[in-house]
Amino acid sequence: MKTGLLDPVGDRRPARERACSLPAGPSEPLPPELADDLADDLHLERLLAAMSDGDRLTRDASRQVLLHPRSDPAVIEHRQRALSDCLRHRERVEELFALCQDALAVRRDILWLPLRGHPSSELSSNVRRLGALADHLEVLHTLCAGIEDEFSSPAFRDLAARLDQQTSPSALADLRALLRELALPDGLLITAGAAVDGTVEPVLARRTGLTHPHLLARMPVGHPRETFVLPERDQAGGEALAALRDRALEDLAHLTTSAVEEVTGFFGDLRRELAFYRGAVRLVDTLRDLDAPVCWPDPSTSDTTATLGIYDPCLALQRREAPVGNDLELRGAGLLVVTGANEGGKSTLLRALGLAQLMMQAGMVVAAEQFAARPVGRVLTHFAREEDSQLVHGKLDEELERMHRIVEAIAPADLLLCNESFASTDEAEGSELLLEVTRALVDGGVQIRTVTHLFDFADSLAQDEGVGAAFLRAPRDGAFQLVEGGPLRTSFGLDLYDRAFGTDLADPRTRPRSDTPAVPKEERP
Amino acid sequence: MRPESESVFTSILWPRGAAPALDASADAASALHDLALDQVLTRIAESAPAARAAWIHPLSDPADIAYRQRVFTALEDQDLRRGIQAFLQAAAHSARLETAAADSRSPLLSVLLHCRALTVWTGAVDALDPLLAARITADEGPADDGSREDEKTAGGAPGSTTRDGWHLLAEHVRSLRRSPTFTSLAADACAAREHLAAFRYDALLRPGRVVVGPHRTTDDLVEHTRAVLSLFADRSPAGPRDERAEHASGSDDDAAAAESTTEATTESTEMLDHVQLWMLEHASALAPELFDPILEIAARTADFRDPVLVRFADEVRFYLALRDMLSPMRRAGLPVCIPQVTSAAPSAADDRRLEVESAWDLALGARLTADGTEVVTNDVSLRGAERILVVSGPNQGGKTTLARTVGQLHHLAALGCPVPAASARIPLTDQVMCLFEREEDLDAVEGRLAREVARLHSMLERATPRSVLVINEAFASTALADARVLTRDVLERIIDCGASAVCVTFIDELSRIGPATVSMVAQVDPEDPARRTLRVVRAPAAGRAFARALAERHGLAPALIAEHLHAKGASR
Repeated sequence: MKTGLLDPVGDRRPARERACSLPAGPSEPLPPELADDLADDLHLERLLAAMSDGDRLTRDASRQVLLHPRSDPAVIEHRQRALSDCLRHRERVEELFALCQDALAVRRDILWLPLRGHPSSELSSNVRRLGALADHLEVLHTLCAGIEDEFSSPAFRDLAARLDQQTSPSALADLRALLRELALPDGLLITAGAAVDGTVEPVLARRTGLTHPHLLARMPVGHPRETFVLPERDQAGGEALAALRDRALEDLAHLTTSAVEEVTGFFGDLRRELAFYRGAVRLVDTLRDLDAPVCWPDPSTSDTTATLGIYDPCLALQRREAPVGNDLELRGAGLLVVTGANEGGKSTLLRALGLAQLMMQAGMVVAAEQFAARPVGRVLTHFAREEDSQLVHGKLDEELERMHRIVEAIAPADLLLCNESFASTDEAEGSELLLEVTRALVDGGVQIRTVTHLFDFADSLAQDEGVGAAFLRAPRDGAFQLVEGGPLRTSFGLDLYDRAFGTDLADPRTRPRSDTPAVPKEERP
Repeated sequence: MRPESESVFTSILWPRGAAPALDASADAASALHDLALDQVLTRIAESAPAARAAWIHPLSDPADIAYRQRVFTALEDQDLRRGIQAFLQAAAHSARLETAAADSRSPLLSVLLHCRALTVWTGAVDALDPLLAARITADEGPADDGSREDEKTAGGAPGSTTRDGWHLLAEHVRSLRRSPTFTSLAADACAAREHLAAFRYDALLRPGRVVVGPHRTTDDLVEHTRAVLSLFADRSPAGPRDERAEHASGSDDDAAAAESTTEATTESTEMLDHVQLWMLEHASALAPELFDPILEIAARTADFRDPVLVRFADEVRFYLALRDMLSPMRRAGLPVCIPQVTSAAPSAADDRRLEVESAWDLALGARLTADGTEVVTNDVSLRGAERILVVSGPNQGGKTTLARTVGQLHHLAALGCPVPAASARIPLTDQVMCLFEREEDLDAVEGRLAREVARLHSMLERATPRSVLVINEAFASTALADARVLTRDVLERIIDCGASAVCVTFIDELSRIGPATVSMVAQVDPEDPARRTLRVVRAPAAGRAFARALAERHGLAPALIAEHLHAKGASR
């Protein structure tokens, strides 16, 4: 039984050909430590908290979906339409979710039984569990009728259509009849042979036929037959018989266990998928309450990113207010370089871009007035660590090591967000390192958004038209709104310092001589 | 053509057929103990009592030694080794089944167990044939790919004068399998198996009650269940659950392979519970057309084992047990080789030359390998007139170990076994005699000295020019002056009788008795003179070991000085 609320089931997937030739299926998942870095760097936990309201299941389901972005626009649209249905028919979604909870509670109630290695008790437990699950499938059948009437998204309509047969009264009647037979009210009839050592080899379990009302045969074994009755106190005989019965029931126990796993697995999948949509609905509500704009993103654009009023939803959720949005149009550029004053909103913009990409590719709404972007494979982050508690490596060593892991994992069409990478060494060395890595990655088809203080690095890219980088600059006026423009040779850090300490180190006339004067481009080897 | 009598296989251990009578002399056993070879004997005696004699008696004919060496060499082939091990396990399994058949109270079950034993045996013999045929072609090269007659001709051709046990065994197995007796055994085993496999009946299991009846075709409950449940099972392709999936072990570990086979064969000899026995007996009455032939087969196949192969199964464990014992050390990188055993007349000039590279002690090797410690190897030689190794040096320096190693080398070589060394040329030895300090000797000094003297006397009485004496710290309990005289006398007696010896002693001047003695000295670590390297080398015994170690520690070792000089020369 398949759910299909997140991913279209079977051949219904209309994989649209894309220029960037991304695989239609999901990309290979990131290594766990890189996925954790991504979640930490983007403050994903704040978003998940708003989606889940403390519910662990919703949090886990949402994290799973957000960290596994899908790049096929058809899949994204499939989810967008499903989410749109969820926003419109909230009671139905709640009913479905509650049904899943009930169905999965059945499994928990009976789980304490020690079943492994005891096919006989495994079978009888499975028969009870399947009986209870049949009742829930019956309820699901009526819910599906309502979905077919009210919902418009293919995700929900297809689910209802598929379930119509599997939860039909006749299918459930067959199931219940089978369960009565598997209770083995007449004993277990087998065909047996003899193993080479003389042990009884159960070849096949057979139907006794006694549950059929029209069969007259009172005895399922033919003539001539012989009966062995165990003496009252023959405990060893009882155990031998039980062991034989267990061997004969292995196949049936396995078959019914798979069926229980299948049906509970279905309810588990459905609950997880619904939990994600419920979280997405809750996020929309929360952001709207803050008057923060949300929009349906467009994954089918040819531009890399074009957005109006994009903001970091996590910041909005934390401050309980709608933050200042930024406008941005990359015009197809694969590399964005953000420079400018400290506290000018650069990191916030970087997070906003990363979250918007993840949310779009999860099928959610995006925190912006408008957002259109070409889907990427995966999103990775290389953020300067504010404090390195484990001083195992030197800071630069740590950064290089982390970049090494990223380069090992990254693939073309992935998106890498760099925040002050290699700022832990001097500018000349840091610039050179970052430039080498950035050039190689961009040449290899990776998209990069980088926030940097390294003037040398940014300036080199600005001079190199072949790279085709786009530039944004944080202004000095503290407006948090970035403007298009290349790097400026002014040290905003000095400004900041001057402001705090009342010095005027930023003044070119009084600025102390730098130890590593910038070398003019022409003189570089 | 080779004479037909020569080509008859009788024993993998004794090419002449009969094993010598086992005169379990205390001397032989005590020598094995002193050489730390008794553990191997215990292992062999447990699994193959018949091989015990082979472990104690040195061989006197070089051809017999070559025969066993060829058996060992062939067993380096993993396929052959695994095949033989499988045969041994099958033979043992078959024997266990026969025992169970004899013990069974149910005549029917007894018959089934007997048929099973028969099947296992014929299967084992059948598997042996292609295994050994591969040996023949591997030995004789591509020139011989013709019929059986061609093979026999090639086997007797000039050049292969040494008889090959595997080759003879292969021919035995081949003719056995072609014999009418065995052919009918195999057919009977097959028929019994097929009859049993065709047996089908119905049984109804209810609480406290079983009903059996003839087999009738009715609806299959499993198929019905699968059909009904399949409607719900489209989420994931449900593969069949096979928990006893056979994992074909690609491991190189013979022991692991042996273990898994044993595991697979133990269950069948368990006693059947009375419920299953009742079902078997009553259901079998429903199918006399299947069970009557099985009874007839059992009756006419009462004795099915080939005595030659039974003896082979017992004796071949001699080779496998020693190989098993050596294999952890070989895996740890310690060398093992088949020695060149020389047996020219004692009068010849170079007849008793001993030349061994990288020898190590079996007992120490086993212990240190288990601990993961590196084992030190030593080179040993006796050339020309040299007969006696006089080993001196610091205590715990590896002297006793070296003496034991030399004894092991000679004994193993005379058994036709591989030896713990990288390469070895070892003269044929008629007996290895040992004088080791024993725990039980730690009583009164006079008693101990008397026993030592008596033992030495008896050793010298029996010693021949082909004997090897291992004398470890003799006369340690006497005054130095006495010991000097006594030991000197013993060495001179040994020289007189022409025997070889290794003598561990603190009286290093004894190494200068004459051309027959060679001095070997246990070395110390140049970095730390207090540490022993366990390396024992040919060197004049002059008590200078400590001084040299100190020199090396301060960078004055000859090799280091040479290195410095060379480096300086190069830099100039």
